[in-house]
Amino acid sequence: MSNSTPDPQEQRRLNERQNHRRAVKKRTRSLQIQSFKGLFVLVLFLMISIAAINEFRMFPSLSPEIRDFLGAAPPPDLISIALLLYFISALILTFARLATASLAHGGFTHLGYLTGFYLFYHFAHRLADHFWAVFFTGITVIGLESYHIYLSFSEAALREEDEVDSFRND
Amino acid sequence: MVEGASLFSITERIFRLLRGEIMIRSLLAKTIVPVALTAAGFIVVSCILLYTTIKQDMIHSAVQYETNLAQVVVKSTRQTMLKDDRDTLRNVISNIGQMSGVEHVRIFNKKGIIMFSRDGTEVNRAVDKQVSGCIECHRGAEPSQFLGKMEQARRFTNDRGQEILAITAPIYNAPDCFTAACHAHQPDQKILGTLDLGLDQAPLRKELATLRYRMVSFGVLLLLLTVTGIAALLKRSILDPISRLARYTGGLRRGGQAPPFPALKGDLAQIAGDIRQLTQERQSATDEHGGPAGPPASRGDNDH
Repeated sequence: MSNSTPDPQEQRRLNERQNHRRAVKKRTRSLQIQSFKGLFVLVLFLMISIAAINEFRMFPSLSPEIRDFLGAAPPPDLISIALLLYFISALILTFARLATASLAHGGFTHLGYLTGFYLFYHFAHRLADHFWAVFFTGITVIGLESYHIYLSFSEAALREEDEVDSFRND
Repeated sequence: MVEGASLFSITERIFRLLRGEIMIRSLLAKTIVPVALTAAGFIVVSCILLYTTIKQDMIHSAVQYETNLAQVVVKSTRQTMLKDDRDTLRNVISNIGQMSGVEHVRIFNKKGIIMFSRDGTEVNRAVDKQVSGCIECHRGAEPSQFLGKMEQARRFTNDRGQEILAITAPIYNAPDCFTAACHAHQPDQKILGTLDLGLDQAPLRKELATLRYRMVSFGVLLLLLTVTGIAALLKRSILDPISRLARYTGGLRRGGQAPPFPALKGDLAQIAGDIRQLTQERQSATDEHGGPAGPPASRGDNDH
């Protein structure tokens, strides 16, 4: 048994590989965390829905000046047509992303659109009738988007893990 | 020893079966869950929007019907008003009030005092002009003279828990009113009084409940049909061929007599063909090197 000192070049290569492994592990962890981003958006949407079902009573009502500035709310039938169009296009977009395993996603954008629909119905004084339509649209779109985010980011994390394994095997 | 071997074989089979089940379940979950969620969401949202639109149309129709009814009452009592025949008018109002579905019918004068009503105890009482049904006209400093049909309507729940749709129909001044000898009105007076007619909305609620029930049944049936159809197609086109491929590759791995080539098409047939070729090449190489002609090693078989 002799105490052999490692070759400095070999040592440097080992260090570089170890650093790379650490970076990949960090990326994997970040991807794993991001795969739950959809759930976070879903929780935010549920909180906005709770405010909406209470007709946004916890917020101060708009002053007459601001209401005048905003003008009359659009007719509820037009809002419903816009909601249906949004719903169909959001589903098509999410399915396209699912099919191509793209990491692109629109979680917060959907949250904005859905809050907008709640507000439009609220200002048209028809939120009570249309609350469940917006709610189920949100649950479906954000649910599907969360599934897409989870799948895409988990798969990306798995690919990174495979890279770490390949270093280990080297 | 034999007992031990058979136990091992059974356990291995169970594990293989479980592995197969898990794979199929996972595939099913990955494909059916998003499709079922999307189909369910789309059907539910479409049904809610459709129901809301139909409900609104039915309420519009009910308001239209009730406004016409109020106009009929105003027109048919006009002559008695011209003649100042209060007894006949009281009888007419009382008879209309006794009809089924009529919750209230009353006539106010221009000061808001109830002059005639189905309920005799209400007569000579003043109504609050700030309540629903009055505020629509009395919101501003000057009361409005004309209201749209939907603005004339108000919906509320009475003390008995009945949902009521009420119409306030103004009784306008006319030349024969302010020129009549009985009790002259001023020509500049636009409105002489108001008829307030309230109908119970139970029939409308019943119709809406039937509509809801039919829509829910239709939605559930449509969802079942969609999900079952997609599941059947997936099983036929993906899950069954994968199972056949898995059985075939398992047979090749175990060695011995080669299993019959499975009935597959497209990519899966190509995969099966490639695996068969690889196994044959491996077998030939083993034979050439004079090694044992046993089954090719697979994952888990070579870790001793």
